[in-house]
Amino acid sequence: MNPILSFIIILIGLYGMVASENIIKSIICFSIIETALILLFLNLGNVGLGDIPIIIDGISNMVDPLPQALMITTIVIGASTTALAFMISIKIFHYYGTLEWDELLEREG
Amino acid sequence: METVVLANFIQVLLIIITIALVANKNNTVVAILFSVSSLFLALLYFFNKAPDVALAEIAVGSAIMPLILIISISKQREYVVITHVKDDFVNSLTGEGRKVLQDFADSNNLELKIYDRDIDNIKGIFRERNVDLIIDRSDDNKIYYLRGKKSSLLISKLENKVKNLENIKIIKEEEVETND
Repeated sequence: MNPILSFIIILIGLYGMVASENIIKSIICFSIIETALILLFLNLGNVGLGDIPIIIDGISNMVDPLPQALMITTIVIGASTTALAFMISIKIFHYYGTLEWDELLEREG
Repeated sequence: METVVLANFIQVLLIIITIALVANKNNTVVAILFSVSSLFLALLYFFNKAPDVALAEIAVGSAIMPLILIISISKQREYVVITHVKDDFVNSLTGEGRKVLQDFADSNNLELKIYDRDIDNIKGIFRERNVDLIIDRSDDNKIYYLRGKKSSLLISKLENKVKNLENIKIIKEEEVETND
């Protein structure tokens, strides 16, 4: 397992966020970046050839449990921020009547 | 060793799914691809010795997030109309205004929802909704007024559509700031 592959997913998500025409698509790409970031952190915490960090008899060598404890919080917070972004996009649709980036920017400028 | 080979294979598969997601333009297909990519990510978390994170990712990423996505897409597709007119203008399927509105909604891929009850009586329900259009009638019953938000692009399209009709008039209103 290679951290570079996680970096590739992050870059694909970044491209999708910038290049997509629809607001909903941009929010989903934001979510993709977040999950790839979680994978990267878990990959960095997977040190040595340790076991799953649950203390039972006969296990002395285990992986670092701190990134796992932090990432389980990130999943829940990420879901709630994405739900908030979707709610704001509904408000935008009923106010401006469109969800395409170019039409919205045309109106503002 | 076999686990490492399998994990690398799944990660390459995940990159392919992500490229397909970014390249797709249909939002419903994107929701399903997102769910699939979430399941593969959960498997990768498990290979990285984090079964608790994998459990949370399966529940949140592949069930709750597509649910939120589908609900928000269907909420955005509806066009809410409130009518204060009691005659056949929009209340019957063959009314003139109903035909115009239905045609407009179909051409813009929207779902038309018409409520004919008085807004003042059931304010609590309608405060929750995003009302897009309100239909009124002039005193001599000849001209129908369609009132909508000035900022919306859809009301400009509707104005283009009805500019040949004599008895329908569009009024664009500024949205007033509210405290709620």
